Amino acid sequence: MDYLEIISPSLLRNIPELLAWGFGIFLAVIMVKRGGDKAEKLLLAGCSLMFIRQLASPLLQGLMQRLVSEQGRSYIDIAQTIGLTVSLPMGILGLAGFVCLVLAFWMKFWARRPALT
Amino acid sequence: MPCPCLLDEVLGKEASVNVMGISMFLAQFINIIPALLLWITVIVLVAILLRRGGDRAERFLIAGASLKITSNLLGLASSTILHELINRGYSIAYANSVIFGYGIFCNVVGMASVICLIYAFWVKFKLCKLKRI
Repeated sequence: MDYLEIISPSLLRNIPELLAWGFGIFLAVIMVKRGGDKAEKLLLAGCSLMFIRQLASPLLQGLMQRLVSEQGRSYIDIAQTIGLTVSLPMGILGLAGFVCLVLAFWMKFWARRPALT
Repeated sequence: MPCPCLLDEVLGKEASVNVMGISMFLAQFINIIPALLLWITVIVLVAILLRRGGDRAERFLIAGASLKITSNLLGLASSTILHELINRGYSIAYANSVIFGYGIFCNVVGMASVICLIYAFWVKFKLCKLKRI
């Protein structure tokens, strides 16, 4: 099976969220250019990380399927490779993006409200 | 997850299929519990803000968080649907095409939630800028 054939369904499925994160990057860039503060920069970083994660996830999954279909590899070897090449980078990217977004929203909505913090 | 062969012997084929479906659903549900808790916390906090004089931005934030919960719950059903379709005798190709369409639908709901959240941030940014002027 061709690599493009493997990744195209999940890439197509991810297009709506990719567009949403792209829209987020676009608005965040405008906010930063119009004098945005730390919160806006964090939003830009968060949206960019989430965009990269959404884009890289199907590509790495395609790589994972190729690894699984390769002959002569033990299950432990495949599991280790998948963990290191797919799950770990995706987890780190997702967590970093999520932390950036939570911080950005926290700063924007709750930072100047001592009663809630 | 329970071993299908053992379940077949103990419960019979049909009951074993149901147990497998339920355990798959439970496994996925446990997986999304942290995200669900986070979004519920966000809704509660924003509801408090809204009661203390929040405006449009807070409403969009609540809408975004609610859509995110919906998208998580919809995503939960995907593997159960696949399992159910294959058990009812549909071909794997047909089941895959159904799941593909369903996945796009879930992602569209996810897209709507992200757009609501980003728009809420945008509205708040404009409001803060106006206050500064």
